[in-house]
Amino acid sequence: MSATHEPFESVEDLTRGEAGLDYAAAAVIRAEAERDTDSELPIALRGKLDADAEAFFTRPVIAGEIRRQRRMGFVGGFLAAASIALVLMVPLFSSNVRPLPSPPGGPSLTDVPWREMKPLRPTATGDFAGIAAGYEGVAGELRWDEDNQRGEMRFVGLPPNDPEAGQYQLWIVDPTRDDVPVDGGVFDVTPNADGVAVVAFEPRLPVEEAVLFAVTYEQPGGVVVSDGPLLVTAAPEAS
Amino acid sequence: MTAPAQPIASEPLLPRVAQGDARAVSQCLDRYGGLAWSIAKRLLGPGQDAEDAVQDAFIDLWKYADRFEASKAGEATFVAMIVRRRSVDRLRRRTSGVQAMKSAGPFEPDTLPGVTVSDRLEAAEEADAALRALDDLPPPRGELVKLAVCDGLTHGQLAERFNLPLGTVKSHVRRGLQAVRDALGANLETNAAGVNS
Repeated sequence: MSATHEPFESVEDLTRGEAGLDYAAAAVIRAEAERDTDSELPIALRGKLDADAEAFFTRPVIAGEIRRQRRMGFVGGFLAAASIALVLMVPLFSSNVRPLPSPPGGPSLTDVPWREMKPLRPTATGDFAGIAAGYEGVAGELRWDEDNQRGEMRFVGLPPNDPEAGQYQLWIVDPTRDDVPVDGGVFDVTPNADGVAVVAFEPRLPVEEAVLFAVTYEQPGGVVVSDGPLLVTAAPEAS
Repeated sequence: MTAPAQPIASEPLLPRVAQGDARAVSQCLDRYGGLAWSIAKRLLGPGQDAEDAVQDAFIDLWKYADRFEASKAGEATFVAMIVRRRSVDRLRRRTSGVQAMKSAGPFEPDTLPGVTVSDRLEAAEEADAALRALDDLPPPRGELVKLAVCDGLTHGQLAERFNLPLGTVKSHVRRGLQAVRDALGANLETNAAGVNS
């Protein structure tokens, strides 16, 4: 039987579903590759890899960061996120982009009742905390209704924005999706008489497992991929 | 011409990469860049495809660094597995001539093998064990595995070259890889016993 014109087959075709064989194949090719006498990475390729890595690790709210939050617990994750945010501040302030609004002081959320804009049956709640430099005093609360795929946030201390200059944008990290966080939509901050800004949101894409809600400040209308920094974040807990 | 790649025997870097340690990322490229390039070049030949495969593989590596567990896999072999998958993916596209062909799929680190590898034992021992296992295979099984895995020959090409039925080639490759897998497990058990004694 001639098989020379068959579609390409690789050993992966034989090992699919049998990861041990895949691993064995990797061990074999690794052993052979380590015998190579000309295995030096081309300089130009190394440059591309460095650039790829830089781009990858400076994306905001990447899933790896969130997975760390989950492993480290909220406090550890908070610190890690804060360090990322500080890193992200550098390109923000070193380029000609939107200046961040300055947070004023704000009232406490304590004793300020929720006034829901839409009926919610929260499946998770959380507290927002400011993590960007200058935003440490910002506080907020989150209610997330996974069943109805909508939620509300309320903040104190998050400065009002000029919608023509820039808008806040919510990001929802869902590790069941790919590494890009779900766009939760843009919003403006207009504190009410209590000094509390209430924001309702409905992500356009389904969120199955929200592990972090984060807010950035972007150009009017928002962005597809944010350069950060993360201003405030909340790690929800099932309610 | 440069010196052969050095056997890789060091503390794992991927846990630090997963923590966003920029130095570990750079060290990872230093340590595994040559290995990745060598694997991609073997399967795809030097050129743009091989470069793209290496770039794809390292992006996968950054994405899934936090899923690497030194207790389940050797780091260098873990890297080799990702690079090989991405290279095979590109080889398939090239061979089929269908650019939009379904990819080999995302790298699934959760499907790591059931072998247990101690990071203390990884280094070159795992690679040596794989080569020893290949050498122990009855001819032409070892050669078939090498050609299929390292040179990317299809089973059809192997069947023609060795004048063997396609099913026989598949069986040889499969059994050869099973033997390597078993040898890796046995090697680890032996070393683990030595370490623990």
